[in-house]
Amino acid sequence: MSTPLLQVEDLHIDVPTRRGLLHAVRGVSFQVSPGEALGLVGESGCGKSLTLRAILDLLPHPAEIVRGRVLVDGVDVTALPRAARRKAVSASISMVFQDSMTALNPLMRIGEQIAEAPMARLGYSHTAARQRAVDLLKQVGVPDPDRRARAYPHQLSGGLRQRVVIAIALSCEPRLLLCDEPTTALDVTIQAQVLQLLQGLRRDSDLAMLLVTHDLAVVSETCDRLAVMYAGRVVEDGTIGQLVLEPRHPYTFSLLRSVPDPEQVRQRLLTIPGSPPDLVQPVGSCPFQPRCVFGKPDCGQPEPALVEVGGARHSACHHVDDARSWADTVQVHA
Amino acid sequence: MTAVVERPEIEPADPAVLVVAPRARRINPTLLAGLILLGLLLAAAVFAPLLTPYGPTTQDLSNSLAPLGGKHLLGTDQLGRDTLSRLLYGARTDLRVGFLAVLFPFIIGSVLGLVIGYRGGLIDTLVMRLVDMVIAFPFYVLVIALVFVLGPGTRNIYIAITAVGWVAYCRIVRGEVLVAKQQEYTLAARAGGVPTWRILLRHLLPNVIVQAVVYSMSDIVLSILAIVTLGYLGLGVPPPAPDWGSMIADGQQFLLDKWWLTTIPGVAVVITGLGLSLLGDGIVERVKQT
Repeated sequence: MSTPLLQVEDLHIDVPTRRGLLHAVRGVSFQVSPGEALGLVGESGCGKSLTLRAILDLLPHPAEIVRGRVLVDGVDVTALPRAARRKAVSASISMVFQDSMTALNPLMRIGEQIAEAPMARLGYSHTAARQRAVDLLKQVGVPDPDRRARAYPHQLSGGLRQRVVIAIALSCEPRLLLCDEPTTALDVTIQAQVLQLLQGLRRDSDLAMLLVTHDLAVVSETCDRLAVMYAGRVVEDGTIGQLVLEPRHPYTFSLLRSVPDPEQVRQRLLTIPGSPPDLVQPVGSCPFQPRCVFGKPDCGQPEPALVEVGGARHSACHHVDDARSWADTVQVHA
Repeated sequence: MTAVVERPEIEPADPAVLVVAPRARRINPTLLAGLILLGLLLAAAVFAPLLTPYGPTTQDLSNSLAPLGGKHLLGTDQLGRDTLSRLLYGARTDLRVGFLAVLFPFIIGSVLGLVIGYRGGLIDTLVMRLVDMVIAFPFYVLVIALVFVLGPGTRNIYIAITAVGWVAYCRIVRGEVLVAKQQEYTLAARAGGVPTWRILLRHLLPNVIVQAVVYSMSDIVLSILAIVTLGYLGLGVPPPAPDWGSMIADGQQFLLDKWWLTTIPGVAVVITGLGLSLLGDGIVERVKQT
């Protein structure tokens, strides 16, 4: 395979808090090849959004990268000075933000917001950039784009605003789109439309995508591969098929089990009891052990590493070998 | 919505929610009242020569301390100067000085707040400690001390009020910037490679300046009060230029039998304050509507 478009290697992010250093991201590695769609899932606070922001050098103060590298087209951008880094990253990567309410400047016409980056970076003239904005609006399925370009964000519906956010992300012809829960703020029908739009864009322009979400349904519909994060680490990765059909980590297993089954209306919603560990404290053992259905006393030290478990997939569990019997074990318990 | 737009494979969004909201917004009563009051004051200041036959410094010693009514509508002071003329011309002085004494701190404070709020780090800490130091002094003590050192006169009033007044704007704008710079639209602009000056001017400034504008309305009241106070203390606009503060101070000795000499300029100050406050509140209301 050719060089991956984006490589994240052993990324560590610390956030200084009043209680001490919070190790929010603890050695995350993954890569995205050209044209590929990778899903990054996990519950709130597992470090997925921080990872995304670290790629674009948009970490909120005072979080910072303490170790690890981010490579774009094989070039280590974390080693570059800030301005050069921004340039190198934004040339091929852009981001679709979560909340279209705050992702658009309320006081600026949307056409101008879309035209901004092409003018600043690609040297478009005012009129050319304006035309580009209208074309982009058309491309993302905004009806009557000429008129919409002159509208302010509050004059558009949520679904249209999210399309505008996507248009802004597309404005400099990126090869990789980072999507931070692009559909969470939308209702289900609009969500489907936006996902369809993203799918279409990928097909048409061979766009790679890194989708951060906690919605497994969205991921399985959109992505080729999946990485599951827990407590600041990737605990399992592989193709969608592998992970959904035969998960090799109890966390993935439990996540999938807690997706409600539309066939069984009266079924009780299954949850994962407990809460993730406090990452200010050092993690010495398997961080999921206290919440794990299959947890055994000997699950403790050391923290399991992410190891290959056959067929280009990885899992970080001491008892991967028992994975085949997990489904049966749970049946007995129920 | 009859225009046919090509959008392959994409479901059109619900047409019911596509209608662009109408532009017109009704002006709210508070704003209207403020605008009318201030409009009247400004008109009075601008058309002062048309509204009164007497000059503001023309003395008519045979007619000093004239009562209300008669040849001089609002009477005269101890030097026989027409009170109405001094009041109208005083509006020119006080509104101009009040406005300019807010404009300079507004600009300096806002620009500083914008830059340090966005930049953060050492420069932010240094400027904010300076702000704390200025705030630790009572406003009037510092202004009076500065004017006392610099000497009275319009220019020195500007300097003194600016030196003290910028801190409020700096704090307001910096606080708003701290919030706005974490908004996703700012992040999106940064990620898109938009230059910093443009982020500051196009994205942050318009979104943070409203609070400062609203504050400036009440600040004009404060600065007019400060000028009046300075005039009262003999540190204000040098005589014989008409100024409400010195009118109040001069009339004070006749307060018992010629109460209008002090009261009328006092009422003018109150009306100005009221008009500006209403205007400020009206702007807040209007901004909230969007």
